[in-house]
Amino acid sequence: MSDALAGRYGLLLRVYPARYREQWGDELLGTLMTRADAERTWPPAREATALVAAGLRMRLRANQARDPHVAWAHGLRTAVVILLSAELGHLVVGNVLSADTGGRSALALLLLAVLALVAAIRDRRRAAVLATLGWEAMHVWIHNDVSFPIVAAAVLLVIVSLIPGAPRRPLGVAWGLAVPATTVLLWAPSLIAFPEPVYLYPYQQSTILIVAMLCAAATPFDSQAAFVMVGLLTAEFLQATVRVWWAGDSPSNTVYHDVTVSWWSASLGAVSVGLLLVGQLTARRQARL
Amino acid sequence: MSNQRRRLQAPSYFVLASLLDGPRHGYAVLGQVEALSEGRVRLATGTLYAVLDRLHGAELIEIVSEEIVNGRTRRSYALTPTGRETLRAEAARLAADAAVVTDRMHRSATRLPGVTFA
Repeated sequence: MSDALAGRYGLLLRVYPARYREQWGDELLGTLMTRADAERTWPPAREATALVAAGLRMRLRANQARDPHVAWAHGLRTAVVILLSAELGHLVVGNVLSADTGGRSALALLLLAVLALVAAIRDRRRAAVLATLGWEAMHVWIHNDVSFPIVAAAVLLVIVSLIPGAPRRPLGVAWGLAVPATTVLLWAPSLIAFPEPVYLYPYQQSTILIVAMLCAAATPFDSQAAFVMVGLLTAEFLQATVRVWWAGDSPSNTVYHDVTVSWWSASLGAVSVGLLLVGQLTARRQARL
Repeated sequence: MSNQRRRLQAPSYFVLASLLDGPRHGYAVLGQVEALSEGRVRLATGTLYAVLDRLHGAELIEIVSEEIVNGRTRRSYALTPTGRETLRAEAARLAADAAVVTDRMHRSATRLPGVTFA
């Protein structure tokens, strides 16, 4: 048996995740060496290609759901965490840019927002739904308008709670970094131009489209990416389609609503339906053993 | 989704089939898969262990022995009852799918004079 060949196979095995190498690495190397010709010093191209491909797949699929229900639940819940992080960032940046701390009611709003985000990250579904609804109610009371990303998050959380057979899966503490990450991503022009005001709408729409394309590209590797994107597009779709307002400055007065379907909202709906289908088909394929 | 209802990809199907006669280690599984499939399925070693990892994770196979050969680990694998049932269900599904075609071809062949269907 060639030590050089074993060394080269050892290098190729480094493509695999550490957990996999610990469990299978020694035996895999043993089988590779048993299969090899005695005089061989370099791995055959077919074996080398298969090792690298399997190792990369293993790394890409480390968190992949093995059940379509789980893919739906975890994908949509990830979208909720991103939406709530972006809205929490919006809340903080809005206060900073307007130099308005807002007093006790703003503090209560901030606490509810943090509670909702933490509950969503920890996958405490009932607490997350209640805190998100409380956040939306407080937002309406203070700002006198509806926040559709928070409404979408509440709707998605209810859907996640209704999906059968999806076990709770708390996300890591590092997901708290989604707040500064989404804030920098969505507010970059304002943060750079501060204190000059910047019209952000075209920039934020473009950012959403780029993230949508990235998720679409990631879907063949992990079906959850499609469901994450559908969750994010749900908020954008509601914002582009539904308008709710009321007489005076209180929603306890007469409430009006309007549904407008534009090319943008129709495109968002069509892309969402397409992603759902692709996500479901990919999830079913990935569920195969 | 219960494992019995999960579809099997061809490599997983043949790896499970190779264990029907009893436990085998990885190298023996490779040879048996090639023999059972009459050379149509030739698994690379990396692919075999990815399949074994998935099947072991889904509790369709189990490790029944472990020994050290030439300084390296060699494990033997066997079907679990769930693995045997999953394999039986997949074989039945494949046979039913095949029958959709073979039965119809057989019926149409018997209606056409001079055409025989083996």
